[in-house]
Amino acid sequence: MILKRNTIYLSFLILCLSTCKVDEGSEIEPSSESNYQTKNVVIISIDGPRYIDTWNNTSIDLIPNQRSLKSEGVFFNNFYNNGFTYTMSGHAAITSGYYENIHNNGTESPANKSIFQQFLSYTKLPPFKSCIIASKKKLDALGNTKDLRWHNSFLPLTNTENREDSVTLRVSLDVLSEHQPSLTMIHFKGPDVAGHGNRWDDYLKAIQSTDIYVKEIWNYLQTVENYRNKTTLLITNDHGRHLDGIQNGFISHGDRCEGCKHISLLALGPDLLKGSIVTQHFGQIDLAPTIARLLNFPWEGEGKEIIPLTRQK
Amino acid sequence: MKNGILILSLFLSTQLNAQENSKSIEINTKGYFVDGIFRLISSPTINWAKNNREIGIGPTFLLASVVAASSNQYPRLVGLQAHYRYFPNGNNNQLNLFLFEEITLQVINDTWETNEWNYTLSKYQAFEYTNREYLGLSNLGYGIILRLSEKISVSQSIGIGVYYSKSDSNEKTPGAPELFNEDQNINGYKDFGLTYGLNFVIQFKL
Repeated sequence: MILKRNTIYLSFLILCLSTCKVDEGSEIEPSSESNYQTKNVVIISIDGPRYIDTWNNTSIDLIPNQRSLKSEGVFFNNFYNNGFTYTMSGHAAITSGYYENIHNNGTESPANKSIFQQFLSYTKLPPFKSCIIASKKKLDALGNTKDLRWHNSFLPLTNTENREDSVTLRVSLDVLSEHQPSLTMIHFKGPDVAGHGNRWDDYLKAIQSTDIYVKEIWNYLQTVENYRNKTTLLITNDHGRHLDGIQNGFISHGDRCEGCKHISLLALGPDLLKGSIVTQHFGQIDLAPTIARLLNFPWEGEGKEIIPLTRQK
Repeated sequence: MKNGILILSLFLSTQLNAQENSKSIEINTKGYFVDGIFRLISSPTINWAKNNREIGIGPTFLLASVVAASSNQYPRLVGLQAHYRYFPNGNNNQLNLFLFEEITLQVINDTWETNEWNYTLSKYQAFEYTNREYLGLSNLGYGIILRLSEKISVSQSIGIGVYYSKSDSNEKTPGAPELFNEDQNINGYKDFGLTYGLNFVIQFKL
């Protein structure tokens, strides 16, 4: 009888626990007047360099341009992909604010709406005011979602092709010049492609090349009236790669090892604390609510706004 | 996991009670997640019990779904549900535990809307599409039934299982942009995967 009663109590406990949900995340409500100077956000995503080969490289400086820009913005040395360390899933975490495992071949859109759709829905601006420009064609799936309430709605302009990063840079500058989008993501694939090809020298060169492209984009943003002192630039990654000694090292990625998860975030812009280093842990899903706050559009999701990033005007 | 094994062992180690045949009707309301997407359905079912086993069958009504765009159409008849329950400790006590297997087949007609930029009008234009989804779920689980009186009882249970889903979308608004192949089977989730959920039941003995 006692045994039976304990069973019943235990069962009730499990049933009760199964109904509980820990609610985390953030809800951004737009204010009537933005507290920030930022009117545009540009995200540069560099595909798959390891943190130890970029910011934590003690033997050779492959990213001198970003290092020099560091003093003008906020650098996060504890920034992570806390979800699935593949290209599509990593980017989906940035653009949808949720970690999820989606097909890495571009046939599956994220389960939640993207920041591009939410931005266009709120502002009612035309599609070209929100852009995805990428060196891998499959990234066009990030503009859409499987959620039927948002599927095929408020889709951003996508210019994604399997092409060299140098071409993507030229296309990006053309799009920024012609359409002057307010929310843009630019993707460079170089380090990831060279890594998968087991070409170490090319991998290092690709990191150097993307560093130059970052500088070119930043310089462009400082020369155009629409962007100068009104634009926040976020430079980050979708994932890292295995550290040496883990599986096949820099060639691959995709698990939850430190090398795959540890990425970087450098943020530059008029509302940011200059020359500061944030050691607090943040992840990719925290970018979506932060961008929503900067561009003053509503957002609801799992990520938390990155408060240490900004100072209000 | 350990708790689950403990409970299962307790079920199996308890002596079974012999019972009479009986018939009942019940309102079964359950919320379940299909690949993380929530749906709430209700099923009035008729049940037949013999000894410590029970089977039931009835229609299912969709009460709410976070996937569908047209929530004002609820509740709607969408399909059939059948279940099998096994009461290892018997079904005559005030509190009884049970294991169950449940199969739900649903056909859900729905509409969804897109907002696309019209370059001529320089504004977003809404288009409607129809969607017919075929969804099958098979859940295994366990629960507790509390007898409030000789005729009325309530129960709560949890289940986990698999689902299979397929859908077909087509243009509804005249002039709506034609759907690509990949947009015709749009569920908001994968075609096959795991499902889990909670059932709440109120049962009346006939």
